[in-house]
Amino acid sequence: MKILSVWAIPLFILIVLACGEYKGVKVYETFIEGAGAGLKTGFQLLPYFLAIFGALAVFKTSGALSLFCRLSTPFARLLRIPEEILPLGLVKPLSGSGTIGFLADLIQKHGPDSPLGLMASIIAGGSETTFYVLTVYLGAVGISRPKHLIGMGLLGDLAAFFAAIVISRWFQIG
Amino acid sequence: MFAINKIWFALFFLGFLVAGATGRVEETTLALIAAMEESVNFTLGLIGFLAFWSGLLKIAEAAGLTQKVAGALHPLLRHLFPRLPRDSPALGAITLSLAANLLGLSHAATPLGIKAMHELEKINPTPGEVSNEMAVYLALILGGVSFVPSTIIAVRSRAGSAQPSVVILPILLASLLGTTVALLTHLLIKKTRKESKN
Repeated sequence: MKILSVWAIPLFILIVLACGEYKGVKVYETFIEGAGAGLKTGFQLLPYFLAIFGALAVFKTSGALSLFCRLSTPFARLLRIPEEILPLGLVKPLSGSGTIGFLADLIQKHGPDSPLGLMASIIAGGSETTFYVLTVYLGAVGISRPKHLIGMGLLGDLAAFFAAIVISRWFQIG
Repeated sequence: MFAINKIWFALFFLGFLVAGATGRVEETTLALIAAMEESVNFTLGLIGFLAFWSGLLKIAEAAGLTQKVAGALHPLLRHLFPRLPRDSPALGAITLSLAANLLGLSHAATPLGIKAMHELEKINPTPGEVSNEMAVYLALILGGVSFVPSTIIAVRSRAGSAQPSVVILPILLASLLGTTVALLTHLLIKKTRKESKN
């Protein structure tokens, strides 16, 4: 598994270049052309990043996020979810680095192979960072109205969250 | 239902409201200013990678590689994207990006995904708006199905786990369920929209 992930990118580069050579593609010139287009897309993303990173910074630093998490504690009890787990589920769709930070913190405290550590790992891996993905993917083609996609993504996150909790409990019994 | 304008507004409004109540206005403002700089740095960091992969993908396309990959995986994806022809560049880009995600190559997956979105926008019947194909594709991406959740495994092994990769199968199951729910949500909304139009 490790060899595969170490070699994945070099292999991809080598295969693409070899196929290009074989088919008589002007590899250097074609690369420059494509990279130029990629550069433009990259810059186009800046306003979207500004919007989402700015809003999240305000929401997090002000204490609104931890307040939100604290307000959710009674729900955690109601749903019989460990209290420490719910904030992870709330941060998950908003921030990828935040999720990893939460996860690292939780498994440091409870141990990576403890029931809570396993549950947290499965939740953190069980879905993508909805807001980030929608920002980047829609921003790249200049679409600013996500229509029903945020709702769609969040429902998927919710399903993955509860699935992760149920699965991690099965997993520890079996 | 979940308008981005309302969410964005609420994040700022509630954020500064709480900041005022807890006396953290100054820190919050500083964090906002730091986030502006961070956005620029983040974009710059991303651009190099994005540009390199876009260049490489252009070669792959010119060599006919993307069409070949699309053709090979067409039987799997044709039910999800019935309107995309077998060797269309859009289907090729979608296939490559999904393959990168499945293999846990998150860095390579983003440029491939952006390429897929560009191809889908080219054949979008309503340019500038989310198309049906984009919604289906994004449901798959947001589900985050992967055989190698590399970041999670790395974090677990750094924390001294005896079995860092034991979570692979549970994560796969949870993400498959999440993806299915996202897809069904989209299909249901599409159906109700169509019916309300008729």
